[in-house]
Amino acid sequence: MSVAGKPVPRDGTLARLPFHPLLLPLCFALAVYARNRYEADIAGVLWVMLALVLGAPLLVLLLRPLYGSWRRGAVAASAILFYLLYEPSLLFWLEPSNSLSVAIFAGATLLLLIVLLRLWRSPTRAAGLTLALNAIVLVVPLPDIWQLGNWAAESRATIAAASEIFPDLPTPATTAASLRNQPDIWYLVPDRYSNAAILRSKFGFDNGPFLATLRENGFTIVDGAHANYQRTAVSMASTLNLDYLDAFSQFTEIDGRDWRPLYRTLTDNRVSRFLDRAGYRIYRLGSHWEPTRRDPYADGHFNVFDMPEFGQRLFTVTVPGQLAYATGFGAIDGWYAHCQRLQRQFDDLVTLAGRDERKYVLAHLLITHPPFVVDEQGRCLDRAEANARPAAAPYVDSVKVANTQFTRLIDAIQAGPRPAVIVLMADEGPWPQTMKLLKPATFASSEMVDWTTLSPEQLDLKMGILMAIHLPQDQQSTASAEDPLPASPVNVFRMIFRRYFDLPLEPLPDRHFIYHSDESIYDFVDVTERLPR
Amino acid sequence: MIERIFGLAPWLALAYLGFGISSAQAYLDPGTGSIILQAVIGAVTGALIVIKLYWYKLKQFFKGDGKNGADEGGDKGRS
Repeated sequence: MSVAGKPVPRDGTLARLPFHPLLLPLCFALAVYARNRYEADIAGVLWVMLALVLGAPLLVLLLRPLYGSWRRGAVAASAILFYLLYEPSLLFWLEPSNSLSVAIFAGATLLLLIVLLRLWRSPTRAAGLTLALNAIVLVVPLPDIWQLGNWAAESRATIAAASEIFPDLPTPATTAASLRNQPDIWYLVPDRYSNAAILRSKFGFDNGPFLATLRENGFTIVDGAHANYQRTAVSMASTLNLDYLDAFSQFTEIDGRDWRPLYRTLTDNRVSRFLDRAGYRIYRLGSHWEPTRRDPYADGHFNVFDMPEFGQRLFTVTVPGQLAYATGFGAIDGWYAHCQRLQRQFDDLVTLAGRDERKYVLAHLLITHPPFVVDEQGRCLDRAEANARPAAAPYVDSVKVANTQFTRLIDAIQAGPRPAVIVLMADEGPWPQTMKLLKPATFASSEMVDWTTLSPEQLDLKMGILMAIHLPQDQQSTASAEDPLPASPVNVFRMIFRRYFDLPLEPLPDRHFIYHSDESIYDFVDVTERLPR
Repeated sequence: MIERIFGLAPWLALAYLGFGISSAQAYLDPGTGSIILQAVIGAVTGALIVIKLYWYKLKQFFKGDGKNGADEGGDKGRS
């Protein structure tokens, strides 16, 4: 081929094959994954990446007829993807409601439209652009790939299965007599629901009437209860594996910053494994948070906006996610989804209460966990309404709503067809304001707290929990002096499995621990003596 | 058509009020630092390639030669 007698050089591979729109979303996902490698669940990450890999070619397919060639269509697709995926992160430095952010967003949107229009009208073959964009997407992820590669090589030895850390309990009895004796098990976890003493002293709220209602319904309240650990992951992993987390000390190769082994023992825990083998139907009502979002042994999940946490996170930093946030648009806005989830979960729990089947229900309820999205009547608030409330009011409003909903649920369970053990027990207390909470009204947690420096008063606040247990009426008498009800979460399922499944699980001494910091989450310090009795 | 798209821009801008990276309902980090690093690397790579593609033209320009150089990217023509 020649033009005016001069041969036109053939384009090289990089200029000929427009693969950049396929790799651009992966570059974006890799950047977020590299930052979250110590926490993100790889299965969720891979699902998201697969969706991105499949979605990008669709965009190119749509644009190709409009732009007349694959290369030009691919350049237009990459321009759109760059705008959608990268633009919000590049505006990170802007304060919310800053008019500059509006101006820059408008400018970026106009720039994208101009680029698309120019490309559409221009006669370019886009060979140079294809070369440049291909080269860019091959180069930009290299630091993330390098970081992830090094990390994968270092942490290869730490992939221990949950059952290696906490081996299975003995096989459950399945005789007719034992099956008759086995009640439903409801483990309701209102995250950060504090004990009565703290609600009174720190929040000026008298929770006495609700606790009285629980007692009237056959509950035993552990006054002044404390979690065995200071945060959800460690606390629930301990409760659901019926043990303290000392087992991790045997796995010396585990990186102290790596949450994934801990999360694995929370997701794949002894209680679910045991009850699955015992033939229970297992139901999980999780949240947005990955470790409790799904139970591998569950027969049913009830959730709203149920997608991997990594995908949710990725979505929130894209233009569509930010638009959903700014407009509160439907279920794709996390705030709205959070409120819908809270309301739906209790309805689903009430429905489950009517099912005549041996079941184990775990509901991780974020109703008393920020963001506090409801008023005291349980009505969903928008962000402005929610943030306009005085400091302690959002938390107290959420406790009131939780109380109303728990009363309704307990009535439904007790009116249902099955005897039930009901464990209404928080996993941790609220965060002391003295910790460096960046945004108290959001989920942002203080990443680098040196927990060992907390005062006894702060520990009391962070570890004080609601703890109430109900045993079926005809079996209450078995709660005797020689086998008292547990005083801390680690002993709750030991008690249940001892009483109803004849497992030889002696109560453990009630101790309370904190891990040092997010740099050493498997180094525990016993703070039992620093907590009020 | 294009005018209509441009007409949407102010509404999009209005919807964007309150932007910045939102306080999402997530514990995972938004990865802002890594994304910015990628953007910087991408910009530098892109700039180097543009310089390479148009090096001949740039050289001609600084040499004061009025003639246009060849289209080294072979980048003209719709198909």
